[in-house]
Amino acid sequence: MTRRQIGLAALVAAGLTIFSAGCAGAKHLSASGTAIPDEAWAVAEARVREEGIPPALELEVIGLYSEGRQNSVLHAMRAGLTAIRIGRFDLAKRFFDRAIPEVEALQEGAPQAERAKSVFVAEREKWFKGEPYERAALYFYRGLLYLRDQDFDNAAACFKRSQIQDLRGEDATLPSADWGGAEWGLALAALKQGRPEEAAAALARAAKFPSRQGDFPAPRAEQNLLLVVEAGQGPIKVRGGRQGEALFYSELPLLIPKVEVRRSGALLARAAAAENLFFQASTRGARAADRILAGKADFTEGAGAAATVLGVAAVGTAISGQSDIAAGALGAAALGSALASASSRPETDVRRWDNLPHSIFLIGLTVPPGRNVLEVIGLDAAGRLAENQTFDFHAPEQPHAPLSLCFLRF
Amino acid sequence: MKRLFAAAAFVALLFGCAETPEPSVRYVDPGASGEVAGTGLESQDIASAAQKAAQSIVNLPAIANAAKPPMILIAPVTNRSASPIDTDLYTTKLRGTLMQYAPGKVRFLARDAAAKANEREQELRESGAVQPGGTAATGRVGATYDYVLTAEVRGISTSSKRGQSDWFLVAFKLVDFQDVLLWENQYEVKKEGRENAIYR
Repeated sequence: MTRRQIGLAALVAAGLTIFSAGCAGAKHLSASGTAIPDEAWAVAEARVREEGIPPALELEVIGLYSEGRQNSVLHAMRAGLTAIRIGRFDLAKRFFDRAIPEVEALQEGAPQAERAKSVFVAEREKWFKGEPYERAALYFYRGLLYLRDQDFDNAAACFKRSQIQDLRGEDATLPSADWGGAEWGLALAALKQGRPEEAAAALARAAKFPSRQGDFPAPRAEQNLLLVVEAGQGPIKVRGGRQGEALFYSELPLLIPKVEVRRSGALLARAAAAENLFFQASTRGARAADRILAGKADFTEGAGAAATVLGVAAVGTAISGQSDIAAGALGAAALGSALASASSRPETDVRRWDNLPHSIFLIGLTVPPGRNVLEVIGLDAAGRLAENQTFDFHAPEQPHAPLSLCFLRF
Repeated sequence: MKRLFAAAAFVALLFGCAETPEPSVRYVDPGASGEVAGTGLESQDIASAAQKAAQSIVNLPAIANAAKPPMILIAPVTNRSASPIDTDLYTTKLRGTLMQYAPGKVRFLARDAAAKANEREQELRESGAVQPGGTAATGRVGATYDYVLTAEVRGISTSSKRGQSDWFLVAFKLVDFQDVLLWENQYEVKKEGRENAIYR
């Protein structure tokens, strides 16, 4: 090997070292793996304190305020759901309402989206909008919050929108728009507005969905309590394929396929899950993005193979002493190919709304005015008690009591 | 060699650490489509429909030939579409636009805005806590309306592997106190958009 080749190799090695260590010094990384400037983090942290954001939401909201549009939807989704679980419905609405316009914003021709198609840019650098099941879940939860506010118009709109967001690929064997929970919510909103025909139509559609997990009682107009029970962990996005370009979903099995509600031991309702999010995620089918990522993976492999071939040729030429210039050119081409292969980013985006549940149960109840001690029992596949929770619900005395919502989590 | 090394380092850092700063604040035209462009209904769509409705209402013979400007109660906007909208905001926008485009021809009843405050004020006047300035001794008599103006948003929304389409119908109705429909008009908005393949 000539001194020139050794020098060139050293240069490339140094470049690669710097490349791999590029973000090593960053104190805070975004959900996309990019460095968050210290100043942006400090400003976000101060804003979170100023707004009195509860500790359970702090990290997500700092991410929301410091990572720009690249991850704002992701953090808003997560923060919104946590806010529901800690009873901060005002914040939940605020965060979901921040995410919705971004999810609705179509990105055809947008520079950030075009950039994410580049072989040298990872998909995770695109502005996160979530997969269809995440977008549908966003509208579903927002719809529940509108129900809680007695805004049945907008609740119904959200449940309809949930179905519109639930798209499947061309190769999917199941139809799109099969969120049973959204149809259930739409039916309840329609009943509360005095439109029983609309409710019946929604429930009839839901009865035919292949995603149906079992029987769950239909809502009724007079119900004054909606129990929303979340169980298990939501779908986990994992990388597969030769270069991590394929998106798969992993499931933590649901241990509570049925839920019962009792008052003083008397059974009020028994229901299967109205929605199974793992089913929704894993039956999505092929995406157009999959073809783009497959192209990136092909490029990575092609460039890697070219680097090997050119490298072998360069070494062979150098050893045979045929020509220093030819060996140098082949070596440079090999290094260029190796760099291109190493710099390509075919891996799929696995950012996810990570606090979604596996399944959601919707149980409408009519409870008498005053104090009600309700026991919610999670049943295992054999129908045995797996977990239970007891909570107090004070139903208002007024004749046309508003619909109350209680969120529980197993 | 040093320059080559610096160039390699620059390229590596460029690829390695793309930063995402928060965009700075700027003023935008409230009537313009937002940067976050979807196919949903926006405030300017309601304003545009309300403007057309106002022009149509003031040309109605019952309004144009009335001895004194009729009183109209604007009912809250109802939403039957598949897009959640801030109906309170749209009601306010509708009233503002109608006020702007039908000045002097009609009057609007703002019961939602002032009724509670007026009722409280009346209680104070009756108790003598405050003195009425020129109000009849019998107390407050709230105005009533001649017509109710309703606005309902309906829509058909579809999505496909390529993008999304939303068609909205904003239907206005002017109904008198005897439930007679005096006037109805509808305004359509249709929006279509394509989604980038990286999101499909």
